[in-house]
Amino acid sequence: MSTLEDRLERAQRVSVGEAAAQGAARFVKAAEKEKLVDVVFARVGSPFGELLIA
Amino acid sequence: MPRARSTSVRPPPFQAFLDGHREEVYRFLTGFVGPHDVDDAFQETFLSALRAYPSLRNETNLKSWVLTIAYRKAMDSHRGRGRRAVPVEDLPEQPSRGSHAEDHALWDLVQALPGKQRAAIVQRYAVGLPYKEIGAILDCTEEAARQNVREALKKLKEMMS
Repeated sequence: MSTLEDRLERAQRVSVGEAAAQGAARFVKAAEKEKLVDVVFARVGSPFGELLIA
Repeated sequence: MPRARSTSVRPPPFQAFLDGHREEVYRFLTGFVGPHDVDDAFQETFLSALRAYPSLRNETNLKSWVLTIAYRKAMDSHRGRGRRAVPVEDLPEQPSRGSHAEDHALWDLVQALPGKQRAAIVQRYAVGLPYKEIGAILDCTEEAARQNVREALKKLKEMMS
């Protein structure tokens, strides 16, 4: 028989990856709508130096 | 996605931050506000994080930082809205609540706990945070975080008996 703590800890083993990815996609759309995407950026190295990409 | 240079104090690109922490935030919010409200709370959390991100300096624990935002957003949302009945047929899937019906019932009881105790129990058991980190998020000591979890477990046992 599992304890209360065991039952609560089972939540850690359930995957939320897909739901979180869908939530992230909705967030990006909302950020675009609020014109906040200019700060969603990444800096990457390139043969020409560091580039800023959206 | 590139990695931040180890010598830099600049936070990683926001996209990398989002990718790295979205599951913990989603897991916390599902346990804290429930499956019906998790998507709105998730969006509000990351919009706030995005607005604050450019001014971040020397933040050493981005996970605690974003979970603190999530906690505050969820508390504000809960206070503003109050608890409301949600028709069962409107509830979406409950991905972080385990596959057993009795676990769903248990997480419904968690929803009835006071805010700080609820946050502590979700952070401890659903997210798996140490007490020190829970204390940092709830703005209390490590011992107070432990006490919140103890009180929450006691209340849950009372509700189940």
